[in-house]
Amino acid sequence: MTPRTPVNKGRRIVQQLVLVFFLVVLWVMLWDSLTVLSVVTGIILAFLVTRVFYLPPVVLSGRFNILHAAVFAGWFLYSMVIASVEVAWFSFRPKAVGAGSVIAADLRTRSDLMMTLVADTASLIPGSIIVDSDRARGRLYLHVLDADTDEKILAAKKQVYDIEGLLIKALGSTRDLAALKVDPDPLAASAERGGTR
Amino acid sequence: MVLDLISAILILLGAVLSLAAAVGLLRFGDLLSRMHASAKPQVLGLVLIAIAIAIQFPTWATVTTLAIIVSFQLVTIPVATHMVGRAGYRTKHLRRSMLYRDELAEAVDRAEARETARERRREFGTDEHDG
Repeated sequence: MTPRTPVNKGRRIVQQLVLVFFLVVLWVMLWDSLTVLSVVTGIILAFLVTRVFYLPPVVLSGRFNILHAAVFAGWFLYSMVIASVEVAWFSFRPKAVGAGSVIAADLRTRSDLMMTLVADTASLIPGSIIVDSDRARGRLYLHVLDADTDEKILAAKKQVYDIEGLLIKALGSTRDLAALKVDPDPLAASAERGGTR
Repeated sequence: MVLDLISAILILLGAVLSLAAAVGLLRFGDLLSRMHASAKPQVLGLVLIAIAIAIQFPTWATVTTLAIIVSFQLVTIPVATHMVGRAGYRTKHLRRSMLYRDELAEAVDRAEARETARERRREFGTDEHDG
């Protein structure tokens, strides 16, 4: 697909090293001790694991904004608490939970990593779990709990786009950033194109 | 003493949230709603209990292990819910009455219509418009 220029190859090696680094960190954390032995066995194992269980390399964008990442992390923790309390309330309250909806969200990003992160986040925060995804079109299908009015559906969609925006600002590629700028409010855009599709 | 009290409260809250997940599994009306119950409250419950343990045993060894447990929960739960939700949807374990709107059904209908049209063309060897 992409031509194998030296720049590309260099970036791939860096990406591999990042992966190996995190595997070593994980290994050391599992052993609970930072010794020469645990680090060396960790490095050997990390290389073995990345070679034997070969997966298509995760394409990192090469961009990381720590400020936006911190904003995202704080927002995520807050939303996770709200989500848990909300679902807990739904299960304890006397009134049974109402009908939900399956909504489609057309993401602006086309990166596999970003799609996965958006889907993961959407599953852990209020209201939504991921049901299916259309990778080629960059579209996610989510089930929203207790969404029996059009306003609630719109709010849920807006939330998915907000997550995507936050994540793109934190670690999206320049292409994704540009897409975000072109299309800052997909809901308004889709309304112009003639209602919800 | 104060720390003990804080951990006790955190463990109690964690237990209540896990209970909420169990009650939700029983009370929610359909598979997709139940996935919400299994995905969310117990993650926070686990996090709270992990914090309580970290307060009681504040060593690097314990904290790093707890961090691994929590991060793997956060990474794997969405995958698990996705797999079950998707399988449930595709095998039509749905209660239509519990869905106000279903935008995935529209996509599935379109895909099925395309598939039928293709099969028909293959059977007759011609386009359906050719008569």
